[in-house]
Amino acid sequence: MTDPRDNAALNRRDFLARAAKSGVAIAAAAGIGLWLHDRKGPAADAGEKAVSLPDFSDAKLGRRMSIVTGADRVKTVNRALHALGGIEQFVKKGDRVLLKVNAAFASPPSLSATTHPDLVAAVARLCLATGAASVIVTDNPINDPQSCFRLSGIAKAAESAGARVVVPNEALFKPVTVAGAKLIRDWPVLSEPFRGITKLIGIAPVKDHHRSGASMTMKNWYGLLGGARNVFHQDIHTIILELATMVRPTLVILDGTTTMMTNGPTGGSFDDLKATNTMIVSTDQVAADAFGATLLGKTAASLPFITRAAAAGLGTADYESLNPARDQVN
Amino acid sequence: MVGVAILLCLVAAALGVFVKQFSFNPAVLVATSAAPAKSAPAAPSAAGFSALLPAELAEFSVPEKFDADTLSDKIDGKADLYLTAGFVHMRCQRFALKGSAEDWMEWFVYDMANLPQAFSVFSLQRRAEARSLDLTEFAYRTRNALFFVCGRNYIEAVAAAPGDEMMNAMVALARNFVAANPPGEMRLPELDLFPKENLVPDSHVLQIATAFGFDQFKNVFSAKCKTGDADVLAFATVLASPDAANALRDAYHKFLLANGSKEVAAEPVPAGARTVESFDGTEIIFSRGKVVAGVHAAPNIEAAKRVAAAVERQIAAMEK
Amino acid sequence: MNIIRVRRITQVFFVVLFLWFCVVTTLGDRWWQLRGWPVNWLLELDPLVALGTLLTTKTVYAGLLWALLTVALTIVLGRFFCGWVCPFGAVHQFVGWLGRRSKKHAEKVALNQYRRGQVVKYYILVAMLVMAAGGLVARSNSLVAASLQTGLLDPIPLIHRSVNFVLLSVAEGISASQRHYTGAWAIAAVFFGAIFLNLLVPRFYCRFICPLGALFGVLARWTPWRIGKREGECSNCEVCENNCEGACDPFGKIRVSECLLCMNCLDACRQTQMRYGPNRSAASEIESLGVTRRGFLVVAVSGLAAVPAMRLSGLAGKNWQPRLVRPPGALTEADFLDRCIKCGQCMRVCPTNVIQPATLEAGLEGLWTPVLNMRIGTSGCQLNCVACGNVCPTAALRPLSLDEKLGRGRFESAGPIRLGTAFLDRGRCLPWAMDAPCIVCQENCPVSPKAIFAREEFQVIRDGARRVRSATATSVTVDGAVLKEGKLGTGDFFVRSESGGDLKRRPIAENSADTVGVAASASWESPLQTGSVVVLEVRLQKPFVDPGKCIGCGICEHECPVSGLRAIRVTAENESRNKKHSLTASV
Repeated sequence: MTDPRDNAALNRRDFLARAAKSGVAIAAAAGIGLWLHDRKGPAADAGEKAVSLPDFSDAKLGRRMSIVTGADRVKTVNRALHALGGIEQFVKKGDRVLLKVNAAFASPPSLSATTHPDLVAAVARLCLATGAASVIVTDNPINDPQSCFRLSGIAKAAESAGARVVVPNEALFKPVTVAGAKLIRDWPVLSEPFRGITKLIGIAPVKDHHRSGASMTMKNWYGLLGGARNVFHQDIHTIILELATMVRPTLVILDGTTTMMTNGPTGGSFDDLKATNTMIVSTDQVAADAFGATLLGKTAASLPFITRAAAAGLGTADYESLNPARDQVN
Repeated sequence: MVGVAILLCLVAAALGVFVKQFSFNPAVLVATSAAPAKSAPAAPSAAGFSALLPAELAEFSVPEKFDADTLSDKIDGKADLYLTAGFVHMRCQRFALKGSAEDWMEWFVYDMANLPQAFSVFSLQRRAEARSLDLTEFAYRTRNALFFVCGRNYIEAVAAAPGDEMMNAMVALARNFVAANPPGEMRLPELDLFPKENLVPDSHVLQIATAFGFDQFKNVFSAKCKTGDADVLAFATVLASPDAANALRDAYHKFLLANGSKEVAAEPVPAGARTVESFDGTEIIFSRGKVVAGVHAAPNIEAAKRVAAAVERQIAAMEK
Repeated sequence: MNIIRVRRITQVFFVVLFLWFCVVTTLGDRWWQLRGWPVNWLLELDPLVALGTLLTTKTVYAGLLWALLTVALTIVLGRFFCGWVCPFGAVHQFVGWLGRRSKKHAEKVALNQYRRGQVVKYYILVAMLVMAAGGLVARSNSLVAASLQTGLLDPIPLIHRSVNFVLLSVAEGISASQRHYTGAWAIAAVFFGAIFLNLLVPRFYCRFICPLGALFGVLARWTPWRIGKREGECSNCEVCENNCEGACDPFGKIRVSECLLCMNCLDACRQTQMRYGPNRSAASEIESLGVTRRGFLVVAVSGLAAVPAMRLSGLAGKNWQPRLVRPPGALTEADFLDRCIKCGQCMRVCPTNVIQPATLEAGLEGLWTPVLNMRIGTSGCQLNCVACGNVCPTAALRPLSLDEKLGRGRFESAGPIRLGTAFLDRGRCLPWAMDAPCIVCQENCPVSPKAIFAREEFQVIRDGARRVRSATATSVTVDGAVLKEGKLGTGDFFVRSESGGDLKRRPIAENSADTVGVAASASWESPLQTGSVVVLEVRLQKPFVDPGKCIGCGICEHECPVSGLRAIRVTAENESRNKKHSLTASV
């Protein structure tokens, strides 16, 4: 039998130990509770604080354009870049380049509904040759992404050139609000691949488009939108304008080698295509599109998204004023 | 002891709960204030007039409501007339004849808070080409519109184009409105202060505020009296006491003199009256009992005196 | 004062307070209505609500701070909440007592033995907390996420649901206003099932299932004060265990975490052996909860896997359910499910009874969360009402101001809160499909300008082309099938000549079996020629919905006279809370 006095002492010690633990527990609970106390509750919006895309254009380069005719798109694009001083004007050593291509449809390259894989490979190679640290290729296709990148030939071409294809998934989209925009407000945009990117080149084919009249370099950025982006077709010219506001590329390459003259944007028949054999490279996406319109037999004035973009100061529709360098490759 | 302490805690909790219930949940505040003020949307016919429509009319627009701040959005400068007369709110809606969308009219109900104020805006806007209308004590019509007072409301129905069918429809709507909002007997006793003989019919006007430019002249009734070749405007207003009436008479007299009128040295008619000559004409002001009355802008002093005397006799007669 | 009496008074106090809160949760300013009564106080005192939402949202919202008081008192005193405050526990205790009143001592003691199954409630707690903590582990991949399911078994939300939906509704049914709640049978089954289980084992729910009790059990491990025996040896009469509510074995090694502080043992022991004091029981204690490491891991992993498993249906993503129209102020679905404790306060306070407990519209996770059923209740969602969000204890429904709900004042650029959009079913709508005039939806649309507008169309009625047999200036007698007396005189029907000079249509004022008459003001200049063709027409106002104005309140759906499958129905497209469900380009 233990001494009752020892018992009492033990009990008292035990009590104090428990009391101390309780005190600590209460303090911890109170601390966490008060620290994380939220009087106001969740806000209405997930946050209209705009994550926006960086501006990749280089003002020092000014507004420049080159137009090269020829049947071989690899040759014409090389020549077109050469006419502007070479790719090294735009891509420097150590740059991380993102090529935004059109891989919207799981369509073979011959149908010209997507960016031609040879062109993708050529541009990727040029960038890497001039010292770019990495080149990624991406787009948010309309059809299933894997089959789009595969059947359009872009995946194979990119990899063969040493570039990496980024296939979109939900985690890569973040809400973006374009200042002053009506449509792109808190809208999911494929913005995560742009982390660490220093140069942006858009590569698009010249296509007729049922809704907007034409799909060229400005419309190409539609492929950065996520969510239920189809709603924007109800106001197609405004969305193209807002896309051109959101995205300021270093360079755009508009491939008019095989133009889809009718039944765009999907086309489907070779009769829809015409060999216009022209390659346009420009720092001004508005001017590029204005010239591209002529390949479709349309005028810039007949395409509201061009006139509105020009009016908004995003570029000029008067491409001649850029004094485009013209050349041809046989 | 512990038990008592615990029970005291319960009492404290109960007290806390009781005290807390005095600060209403915001939803309750919204629910109890929204009910009367806002046009309750659950029963649109209450906000609109569709319940009163006769068979031949169909709704042509949504009902609108305007308060003192927004009235000018609808009627522009005319809002002043209503605002100075105690305007509360106005509801309006357009209707068209069924089967004929070109024949439409707009219906306005001005809530003026009480009968005198409604009568005031009615009387001030009486059109010259008014024709009689058997509707309420104060009602008239013109070629394409009708206007009437119903209790505290002043109602206008204005058709886009004149036409019998539309007029009949508007009258039917007006009758339905009166039936739905029975005004009771609409009596303005002050109208009896004016002599019946030689009165230009339907010339009574009530000015709620600032009659004749004088800011102390509130709730002033006036009527036109025929005399010889001209019509003379007689006026009368009832004060709280004879002393107040005398004070107002003197105040108006001083006001007229201060604004360039000249005292007329003549026998005052009626006794105790003040007579001045202003730019507009002869003014006579007198008080009898609680009433301040007189003649405003008469063409000559004889006519002024005749009418002033007649008014004074009428007031005396009404005192009995 | 006898401690048992004090405990009983306390239990009665909280049961009455709880019932009072249930009764007054109805919109209004009379003393028996909401006013400022703190109807969420018991939910706010519940630390499982606070802890669950703390894990899912990393915040302690507003009034949930009250839980600190409960936690602090539990850490110091023990599971006082279970024995003294919890109204569900009080009900269980009462029914259990009723059940064993006539039993003999030995039976009672047997009923109150500790059972191994009492560890199950700790596993339930672990599973629920792990499910709630999923969001802390994962990045923004939608599959591995958090899900707040504590509300299913947490007794305070449970008893709020059960009393509000089942007991009060049945009681109200005796008076005029009968409220309905979908799937209330399941809620009743759980409630009554739990209560009747007390006849098997007293306080069945408290001992075996209750995750809140489990949480308190964990918190009560180091209480400075506790129940225990004075001396190790006593007369072994076991009277203390006659009415031991917690089945904590006070006679032997008392299980501290199971003790509910019912004080029955103190009261029963004739040798004053049992006491509540600063020393551990002289007969020693069992501190362990009985949770094994293996059991813990199994349950934890299951909990972690449960959320992605539930999310695989894509209901929170592309496979979102259009019928899931949530109340105004609801957060985006994933955020909503992080906060909703399924207490049913929003459904209880809704003045039109349109908010209903979901069955499977929102998936398994969304069971008993609020969803609007426009056919039930007295109206759709009232325009000028912000009740639901202002009684939600966890802000799963944000407390809205009227300005925010209607898109006025500060919120004008954001526009009104939309719950969804009304879609016309032209195959069922009377004017569209059945030549029957009706414009009830447009009349009842509460927004201004209305979101439903009509286009007028004149349609020749069935067998409407007739030949004139004879005519006067104001009537036409026609051949053909007999007309229903008076049917054409409602103001919606017109007659029009197809030949001759006057082709203008006239409203039909009355009709008999073969003659239609028009008003004198609409007479024909010269009566129509015998043998000429006239057509009888109906004027149809065909409704259209303007998606830019429609807020999805559902009043149109509620009023639509096609009372089965309504001819105009609200679905969740264009709901403000999720831009991905936009219908129109400009939101």
